[in-house]
Amino acid sequence: MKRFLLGLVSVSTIGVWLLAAPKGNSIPQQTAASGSSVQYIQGTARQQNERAYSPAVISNGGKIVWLSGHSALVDFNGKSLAGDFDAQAKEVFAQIDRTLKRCGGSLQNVVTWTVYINDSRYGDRLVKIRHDMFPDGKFPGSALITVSNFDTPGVLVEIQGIAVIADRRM
Amino acid sequence: MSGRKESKMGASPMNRVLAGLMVVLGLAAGLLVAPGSAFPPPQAMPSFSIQYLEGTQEQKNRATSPAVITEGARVIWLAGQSGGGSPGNFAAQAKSVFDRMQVTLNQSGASLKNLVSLKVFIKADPGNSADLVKLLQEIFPDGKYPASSVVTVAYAGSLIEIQGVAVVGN
Repeated sequence: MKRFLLGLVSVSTIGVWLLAAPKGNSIPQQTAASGSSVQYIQGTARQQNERAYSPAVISNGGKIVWLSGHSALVDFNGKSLAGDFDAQAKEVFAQIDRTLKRCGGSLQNVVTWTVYINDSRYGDRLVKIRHDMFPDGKFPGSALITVSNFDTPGVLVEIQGIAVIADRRM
Repeated sequence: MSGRKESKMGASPMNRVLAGLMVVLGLAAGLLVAPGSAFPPPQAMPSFSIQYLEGTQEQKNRATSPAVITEGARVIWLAGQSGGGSPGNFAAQAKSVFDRMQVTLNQSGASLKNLVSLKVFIKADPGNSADLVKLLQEIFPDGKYPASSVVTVAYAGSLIEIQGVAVVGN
């Protein structure tokens, strides 16, 4: 009986060692971004469904991408988008996505952005287009500002964002 | 003979319960020990890195990077800084904005070189953006520009206001 108990104790000890060892060993192998996360706080029905933004996004660690203001007078193939707000807005989102892909991410990694339009009447169009870009409902935080104009004549919308590329997106 | 066997069989469930208990205890001990101090703790922050994404010729002409990527940085979030003095002189006011940002950044152990993102608000006037680009080229002669946006807003005293974000290594 004593021998049996001794055996049990040694089995338990091995169990402890097996459970402890892998976690201990994994620590030095952690890469810079490991354990990083981005959490999107769900907004009200109006924020989610109509205005397409999150009231807050929480990031912890990860790679931060500071984007310049993106605007588009022509599309990827050089076709003019002058005077076409919807086309400009869609191309700006596509541009931001392309820039972020060069950084190892995508449009889905944006955590906040400032959207500038030069006519407040474009606001509703903008949020509709933006809504369709995030089918999972994980919208960036956002400010939507009507300005008097942009650096480049003919530009109707400019967006400057910040993205965080992390291990987990919640 | 059969009675003896019976009694042995009777003891067996007891042992099994004992063994079960020991295994459970072992598992619990393992779980408790694993995140503990037996192994060195992970590094608090990954090492600092910064990368400037190369822009198109147009972006270079506008003295902006399309994106700046940072990791493991200490982030300095600056308030909007407006230009002072020199009424009506855009170039002088723009210079004073950066002088003031420099003072604030120095207090935080950083300098203008650490700026990664700029939101620039200016009064619309011919020549203002050209003056701004010239100044940015002087401040960042190596072409490592912050990612910027420039919009024109309703005139409110100062001809220029800039809100910046800087990052420094730990």
